[in-house]
Amino acid sequence: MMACGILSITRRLGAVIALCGIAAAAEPPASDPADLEFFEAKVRPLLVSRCAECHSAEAGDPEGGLSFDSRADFFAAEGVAQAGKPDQSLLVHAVRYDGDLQMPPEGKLPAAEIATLEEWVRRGLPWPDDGKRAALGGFDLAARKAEHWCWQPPRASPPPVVKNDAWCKNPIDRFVLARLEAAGLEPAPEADRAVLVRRAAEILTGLPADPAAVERVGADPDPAAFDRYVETLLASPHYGERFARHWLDVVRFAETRGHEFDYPIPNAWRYRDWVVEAFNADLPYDRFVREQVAGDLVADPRLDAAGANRSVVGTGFWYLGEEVHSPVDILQDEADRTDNRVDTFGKAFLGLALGCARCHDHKFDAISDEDYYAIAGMLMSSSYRQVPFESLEHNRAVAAEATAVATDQRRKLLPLVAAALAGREAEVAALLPPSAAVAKAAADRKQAAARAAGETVIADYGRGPGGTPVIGDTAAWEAVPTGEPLLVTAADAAARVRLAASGFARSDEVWSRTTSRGERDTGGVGSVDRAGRVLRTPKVRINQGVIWHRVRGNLQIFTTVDSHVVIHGPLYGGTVMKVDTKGEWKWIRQDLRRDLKWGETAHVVHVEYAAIAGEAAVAEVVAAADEPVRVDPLALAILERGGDPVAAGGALLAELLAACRAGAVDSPALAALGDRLLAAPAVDWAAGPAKHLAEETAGGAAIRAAVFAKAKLESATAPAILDGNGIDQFVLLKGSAARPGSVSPRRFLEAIDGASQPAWPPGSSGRLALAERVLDPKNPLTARVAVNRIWHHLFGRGLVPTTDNFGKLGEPAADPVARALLDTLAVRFMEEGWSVKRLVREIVTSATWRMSSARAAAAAAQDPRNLLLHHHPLRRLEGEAIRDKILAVSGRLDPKLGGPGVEVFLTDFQDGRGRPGAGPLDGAGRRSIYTTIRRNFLPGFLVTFDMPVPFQAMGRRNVTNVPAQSLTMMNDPFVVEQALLWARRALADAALTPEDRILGMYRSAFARPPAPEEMAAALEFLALQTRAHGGDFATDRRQEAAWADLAHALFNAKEFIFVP
Amino acid sequence: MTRRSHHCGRFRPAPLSRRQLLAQAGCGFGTVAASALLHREAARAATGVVPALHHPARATSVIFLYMDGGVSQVDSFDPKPRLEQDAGKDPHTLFKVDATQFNNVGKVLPSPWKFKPYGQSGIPVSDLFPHIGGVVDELAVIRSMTSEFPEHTNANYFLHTGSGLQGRPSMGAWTTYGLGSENDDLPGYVVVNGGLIPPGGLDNFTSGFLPASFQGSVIKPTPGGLANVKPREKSPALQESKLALARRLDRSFAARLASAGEAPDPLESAIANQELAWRMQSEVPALLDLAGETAATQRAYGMESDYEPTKIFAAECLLARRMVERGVRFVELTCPRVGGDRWDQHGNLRAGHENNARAVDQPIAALIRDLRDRGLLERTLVVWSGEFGRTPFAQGGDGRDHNPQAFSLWLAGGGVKGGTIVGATDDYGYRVVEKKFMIHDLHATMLHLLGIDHTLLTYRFSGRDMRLTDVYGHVIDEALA
Repeated sequence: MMACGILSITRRLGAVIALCGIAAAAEPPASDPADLEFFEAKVRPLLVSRCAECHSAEAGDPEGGLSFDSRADFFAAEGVAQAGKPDQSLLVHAVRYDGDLQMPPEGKLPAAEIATLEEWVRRGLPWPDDGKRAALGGFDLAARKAEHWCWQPPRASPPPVVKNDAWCKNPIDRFVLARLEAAGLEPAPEADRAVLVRRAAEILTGLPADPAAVERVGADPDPAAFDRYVETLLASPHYGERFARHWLDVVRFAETRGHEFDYPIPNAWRYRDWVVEAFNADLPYDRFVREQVAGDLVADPRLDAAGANRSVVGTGFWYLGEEVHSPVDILQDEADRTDNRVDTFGKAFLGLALGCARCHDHKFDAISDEDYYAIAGMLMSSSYRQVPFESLEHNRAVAAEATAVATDQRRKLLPLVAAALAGREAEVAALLPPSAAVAKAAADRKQAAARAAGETVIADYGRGPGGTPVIGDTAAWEAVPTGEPLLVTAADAAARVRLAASGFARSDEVWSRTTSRGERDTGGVGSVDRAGRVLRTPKVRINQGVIWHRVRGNLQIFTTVDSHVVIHGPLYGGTVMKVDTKGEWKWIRQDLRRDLKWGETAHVVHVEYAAIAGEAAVAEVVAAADEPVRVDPLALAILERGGDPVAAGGALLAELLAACRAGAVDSPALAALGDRLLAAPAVDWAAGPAKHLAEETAGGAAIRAAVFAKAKLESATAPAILDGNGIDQFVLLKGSAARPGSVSPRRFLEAIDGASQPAWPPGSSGRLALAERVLDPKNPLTARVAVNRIWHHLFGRGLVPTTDNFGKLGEPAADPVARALLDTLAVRFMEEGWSVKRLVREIVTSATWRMSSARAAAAAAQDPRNLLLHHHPLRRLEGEAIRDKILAVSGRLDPKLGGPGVEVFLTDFQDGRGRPGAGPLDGAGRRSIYTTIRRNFLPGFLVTFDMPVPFQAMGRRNVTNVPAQSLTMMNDPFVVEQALLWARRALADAALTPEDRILGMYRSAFARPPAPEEMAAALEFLALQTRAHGGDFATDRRQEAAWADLAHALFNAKEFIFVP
Repeated sequence: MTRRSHHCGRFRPAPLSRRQLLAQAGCGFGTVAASALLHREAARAATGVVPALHHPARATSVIFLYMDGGVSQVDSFDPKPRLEQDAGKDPHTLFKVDATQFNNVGKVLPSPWKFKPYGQSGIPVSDLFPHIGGVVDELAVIRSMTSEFPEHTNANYFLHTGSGLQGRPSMGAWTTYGLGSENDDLPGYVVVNGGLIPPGGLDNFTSGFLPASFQGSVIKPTPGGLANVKPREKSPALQESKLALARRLDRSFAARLASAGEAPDPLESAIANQELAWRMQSEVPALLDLAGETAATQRAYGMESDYEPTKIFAAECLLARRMVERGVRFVELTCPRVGGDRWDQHGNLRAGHENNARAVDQPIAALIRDLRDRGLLERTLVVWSGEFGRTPFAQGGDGRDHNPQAFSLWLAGGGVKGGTIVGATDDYGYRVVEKKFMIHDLHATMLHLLGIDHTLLTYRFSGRDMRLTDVYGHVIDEALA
């Protein structure tokens, strides 16, 4: 579905060829070596660089059916050239631009290149018949890397020498001034101090300057006064809100999943607050990136004062995209979801359109489809969760302590088991499986072996070391090894202690009592409060739709197929089950055949188990048509020892006692024997070694219970990613999930890290390594892209204008000086600790940023787009800043930071499925960033002023100018209401004169006093409006309606929304 | 260094100067300059506008009659007697059945409606649409449409934007991006909301990555039906004096920033669009006021129907004609609520389809006749389509599930060969067997009739030159006059 390079002149060329009716170029005889050398040296590179972009099968359908991919392809096209006759060859006419067909369409080739092609035709079209597909038009990653600037590492340059040294305040100015001086232009004079204060406040915090600050800083003769003011802005929490909103555009932030019913992404606002905090705390940008990519995996998670894990919240980044409920083609849906994640990742951090390489190697950049799928694999290896980030670290510590206690106890208890069982040889024979059972074991073994080929083991927690690792969304699940002594708590049980006959994964009862605060997942998945209770199996590719779960307890089973989690019917209801085995081990059958196609279609699944109540345990998970057959280990052991229970019994007991004394019973057969012996009525639990064993076991359990008592049972949750085993993804041909190609192992981009990267570990998705590769100082993109974004926000235009695309289709920096400036800033950004605030400070306090926005006529004529920055660009505020400014001047602004969003105000015109209850007209006075962003119900006011539709990275907003914007400022009830509030605020102090009030209003709106004629006009207006509302301004100088009209008129003045 | 523009062979017009844009405004297209004066930065991005038509246009406006939910082809324009013959059989025994949304495959279900031939062309139409039958000689019925998505939201996005994913520009946005509007006082792309916003929401009408000026303006077929178009002041004078004061401020602000007497572009444009907004306050209500239509016209459309949904859709159709008259480029009508569901009868096919048909049949026929009588039909392309078709077998007992493998739509008006049937489905109407077309082909055809080569209408975004038709699309020549 991706729109790709367009191949429009196909038909045009085809038509011309048909019209010209030139005979097919007969394939020439073998050429002599000199001619072939001429081809290789001159012609082939020219065809590669000038023609093959369109005339290549690699580019899709070769234009006009003409492909330069190989000799055979070229000569297969008819009428292109006549060997030896340049003047009769369409190719030559086309490059000469002497007919209707002009090639290449972007512009005529240099004369020398035209001559080369003429010479090639004259020589008889020599082209070696080497049989292989030529590099022509093919994907040559190294060549692409070599020829495009963005892949070359940034280098710092010394600031250029300038004539007007006195103008420069910092190195940035030298770069900018050097360009201006070279062009013979002067920088605009420094803006008026009050204008600077307004500009700094609105650009750095998105809120208007406090009039008192304008006056104070404006009047301060100290040249450093402005710099000090900038410090107060950087220290303001509103700075973080402002820059967070910029970042939210990049990460396609929304709080719902769009599509048909617009289901929520629960607690997505936690990510929004994480971004605000990150900017306010000046979290180093490298850390900012690392936590979004792999904050769940960092070795040193950031904890807040209350011990909450902040790092993991950043990973919500991955799950802010659109998601579909009940996709009929679930594989394609997964491919689409993953694409959005890969594409957003590429644009946000690397400024690369990785998504372009989904269906084929990138058409223009050094990005292969293997690169794309290598990264896609990391995401498909990971899974979505709601993370209880507040309790995460605390409970990890609790669980680790409990596990340590259990390990310690095991060492202590097993010798006591040996003591209790010593000398029980006489009983063994009676407890062992009878011959019939041994015979059955033989049959079972056979049957199990026969079935094994048709079964896929998804997880086996009984195998101990080397078996399936226990992965949970927190630490609630632990591995219980084979032979673990287990306290029996039932009062009527004969035994007090048993042995685990085989290992399993267990969630202690305490974890089923945890509760999450905030929104829960919707649909089938969210019917249980899962956060913090989840056991996640590895991901496995299976091709049959029946899954068997050997579990014990009351739990939810969610088999996540192709990472689809929005379970809302009509399909996939069967992926979620609730079971209660009443304390017994049971094989639970789950049938996914109704929901999904199987057989030829394989699906990647993993299973998530969450305890609903009490202790839960999982032993094995198997995809199989029939219930798996498991051989009784004890019977099997007898079988392996000759088949006679009596003969084998003594030896087995001896082995068991030895194992117990050594502190580990790894063998299921021995554990089973020990278990039977302990369960036998012959054991006297009231005295002797058994009594001791029971007491010690109970003591150990009490210690563990005391540890668990420290668990933090309640926590807020946030959307986050959960790591698992690594799954390598197939290259999907043409991006279609129905056409898997070869496997593309997970790794980083070849253009940056080379073709022979070591294999990434199978035990993890590799996202942490991915983050490190993104942030490696040798990565030429990350710092440049980040610095450029900041520049873009501060000047309205990046040094590289296409902030999200540094590839060949991006717009490059205007000139080498701009690039040198970008590179220098990027290198220093890394060297000086990736501090965004430091960079903002340097830019904003430069002489360049302080320039007036009035243009000199000469500069405007010479450089109308202001590419050289000869003046400060006039900018319209973004929708959020306009709305926030209205609230600020009206006095309605609630400056509260963070928290759940305020429901969006909906007009009658906003309708459709999933329509939420409408929020308050004024958004409760909160800043616009706190309006809930529902994909299908975007805030009308903000969208009118170009808030981007959140579907992919949009680091550079459109800036439109449409009547709907004016209509909003004129007639939107929000604006009208705020005008009235502003009027009341202006009228509140009875002692003021109308002139005082007007002065105050101008200062809040425009950061300047009214000019005398403006004051006169305002008074005249008030008189007119007061009369129109039925009053007389001469006697009634505080008529609310008239003053509201004045406030409304000031909102509609362009100076209110344009920052000079 | 001259930068190569990597456009895969696309000829992209050089950015136009403002003066060129304004000059073209007088030539009938490119009035985007007047209706959405963009500042220089955005204008640069938006001058992908067609500088000259690629070929003569057959139509200048589009009315898109969106049959939300998916009309059943075998119950409307594609009669299948074989369904009678095989009624009640398990479809699996007759043909390969694809996965469906509900995976609840019932038996072969014949149409509850009879078909009969209409007009000189004799095109068969079911009893659901007797009025449309009356204008059938104006229609080119395409029986061989396909979609790629068997569920609503993706299919709606696909139908509207050429992509099953959310957030791409709608066909109306592309059209106004390419051609602008011919009316300076109204939006170029208008969606008349009859009550049902399709699954996928307003993003079906979005401008996506195109500038916001091209997004669909959603209006309701009632007076004051456009957001914020109604002044809040008690009298026009109260508002005019406010705007006069604002203009005074704007003039002094512009003067402070002016260079050689010229204010910065963005500012100048913003001031101009305030004037336009002011005019829209009277133009839009005038448009929405149907009182001036004769009683005969109102009756013909169904404004006096005793079925409320028919009255709503009648008003929508009448509005569509009024907009086309005024030069609005792209009008889309959404269906009214009929109590049950949109055209999405997973059950209760008979009542559901009958109610939906009753709401739209008479108004649509009246619209075609009215356009024809006023000489507007020859420059208006009317498109009638849902997002996919329905299965010829039942879902449960009396419903039909979604079927993207085949559905029928029709075109009428400018450049369309009336009285034509294009393409064919198999004996069951389940799959296309002849002249298979996809949504991209519909879009290519619509743009073609508007004078645009769909391969040449591009916008650079996300590292590519994006198109409404992606890398696909062929004009459906068989449907063209």
